[in-house]
Amino acid sequence: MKTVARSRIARYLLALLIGLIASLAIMGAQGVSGSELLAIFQGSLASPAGVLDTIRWATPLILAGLGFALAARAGLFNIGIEGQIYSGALSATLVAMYSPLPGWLTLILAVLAGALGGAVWAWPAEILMRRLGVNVIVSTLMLNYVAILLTTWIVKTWFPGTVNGVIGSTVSTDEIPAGTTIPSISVLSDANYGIVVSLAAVVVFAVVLARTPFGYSLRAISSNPEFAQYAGVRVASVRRSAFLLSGGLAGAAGALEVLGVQHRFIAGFAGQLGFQTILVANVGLFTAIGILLAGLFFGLLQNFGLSISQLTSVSSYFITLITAVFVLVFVGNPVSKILSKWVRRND
Amino acid sequence: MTDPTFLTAVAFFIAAALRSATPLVLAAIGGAFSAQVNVFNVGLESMMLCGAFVALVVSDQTGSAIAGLAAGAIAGTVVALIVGFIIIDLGADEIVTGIAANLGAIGLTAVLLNSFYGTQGSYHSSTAGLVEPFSVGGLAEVPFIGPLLSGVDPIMLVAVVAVVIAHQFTQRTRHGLRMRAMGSNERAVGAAGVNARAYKYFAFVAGGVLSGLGGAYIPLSGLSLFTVNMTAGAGYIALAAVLFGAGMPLRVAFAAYLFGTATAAAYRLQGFGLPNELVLALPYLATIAALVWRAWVKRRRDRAFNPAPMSAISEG
Repeated sequence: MKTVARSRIARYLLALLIGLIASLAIMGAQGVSGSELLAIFQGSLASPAGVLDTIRWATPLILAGLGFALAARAGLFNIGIEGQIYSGALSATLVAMYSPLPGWLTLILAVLAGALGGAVWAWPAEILMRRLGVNVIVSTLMLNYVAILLTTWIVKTWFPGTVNGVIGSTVSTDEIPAGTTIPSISVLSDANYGIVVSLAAVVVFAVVLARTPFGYSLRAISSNPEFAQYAGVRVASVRRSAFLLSGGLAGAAGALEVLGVQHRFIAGFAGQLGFQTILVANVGLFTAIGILLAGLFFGLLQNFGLSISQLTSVSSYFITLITAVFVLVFVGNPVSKILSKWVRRND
Repeated sequence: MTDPTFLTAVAFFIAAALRSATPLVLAAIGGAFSAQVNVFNVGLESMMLCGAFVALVVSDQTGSAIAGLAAGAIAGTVVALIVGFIIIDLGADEIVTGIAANLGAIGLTAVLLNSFYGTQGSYHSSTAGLVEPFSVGGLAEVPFIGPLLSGVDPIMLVAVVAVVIAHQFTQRTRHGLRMRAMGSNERAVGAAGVNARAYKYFAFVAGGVLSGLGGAYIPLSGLSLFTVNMTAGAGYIALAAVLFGAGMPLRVAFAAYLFGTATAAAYRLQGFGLPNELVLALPYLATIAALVWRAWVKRRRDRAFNPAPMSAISEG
């Protein structure tokens, strides 16, 4: 057990180390020194606004990350997270705008609508997989782009006043009514109480996985689906639930973004959020606590990247690059390979 | 006698469709090799994007389109080797690696763009050598053929040749056979003494060269600029074509040309009131439809030969 823990820590450390070296190298080439970098770090992140901004970015990553992990534990790669986020976000926006109920009730309904929207978008891929064996990776990947295009078209068609005829951040709906937004934590940042939803989800995820029959079934399927089947687990049914819930979590994440930060549906708002979610889940090794920490880490990096672009001449995409380097080293896990070769040679 | 301006418009459209499709075809043919050996090469986008960037920079500095294109192909290969190493030798999950590589490419090219040219958005080059269409001289006057030929450039032909060569390689050579066998049953192939690792690397390198070239074509075919995330998902459309054609070069190429034409058509159809987005969604929907069709046919055939299986576990 000790060696597993040690090798895991080593894995994270190596990825962090290489990421740091890469950062310093790139920064150095652009004329930014290590101490400047540290100063930016302290100024922007070790401050209330910085912490809040980290929370703002981490909120959707954690929630959607749990979604991806849920499906992954059932053996299904739900790459369609991005599309489900859009679907959930638009559903939440529409409920927020048109519900006749009081503000706080609408808000709750909107989040639920978001979850439903996400699950509905995951549903076609799930059916195709179960009935026809269509690879869920492919179908969800394709549906991502359909979701982006479809939601953009819907917004363009039904909210024509705000269209500039361009696909992208300038196409959006009107703002949602004031009473339906998630309250902000402080004026310093866009961070809002949506983080409570994400944290609650972390706890629920951990509890369900460890203490419920459903969670037990998931763990059994993760190890060996065929054995689980023979042991009485209704694999197909568990997989369906896991996949749809996965879509639901992603949709809820999209809802939180709209209700808590943007307060309107902006076409193409998710950017690389869907893919980042997948990376978060992987780096978090598909556990509740891992995803929580990974989500916070990615949120921190995002915030750091923005500060760098504001305070230096370096591109804001610098952090996208460093994130990728980190993930590639982490996923490649070279230490483990070298160690296992060494162990074999010395047997 | 058909109206010559209509014919000219059609000719221009065909040329535009080819220009749209060519990078997709090149990348898709490259990706097809990976599909044959059962590797999901999600990273095509990263190879195309790096190819595009390097091609523009090199062409901008040298004024030579050929140098740019070659450099783009090399850049794609370098990316492919790195990604391939992480997947093949380090055993990382191919999808996560591909996604990380795509994000990394966006970041890397944006940082370098800013570093070389001091811009955060895009850079337009006035000194880059571009790919020139064929000079047709007197033929330009000929209705339809004239305008068509004057919009066609050598790289479009290279793409067609690549398709033919890939097809011959896959279907007619020993290596192609081995790769296809690897796709079905890798262990059996390994037991037969075939070096699966070498073929996987080959698949990645081929993918890198071709998608790098495809990416290089994008700025050098006329735009003469590079923007952040310029390929904007072209690599994923190429992947869709690979999946549509299940790795078989002719089918993959068919899909890629179809998707490229759809993209070119989308912008023109806007004028007729057909929503841009719905037309652009067609390649993705078509891919799903193709997979559903193939799965349905397979199920029907399986049921005919094997009555209902005991296990209720469905394929994921």
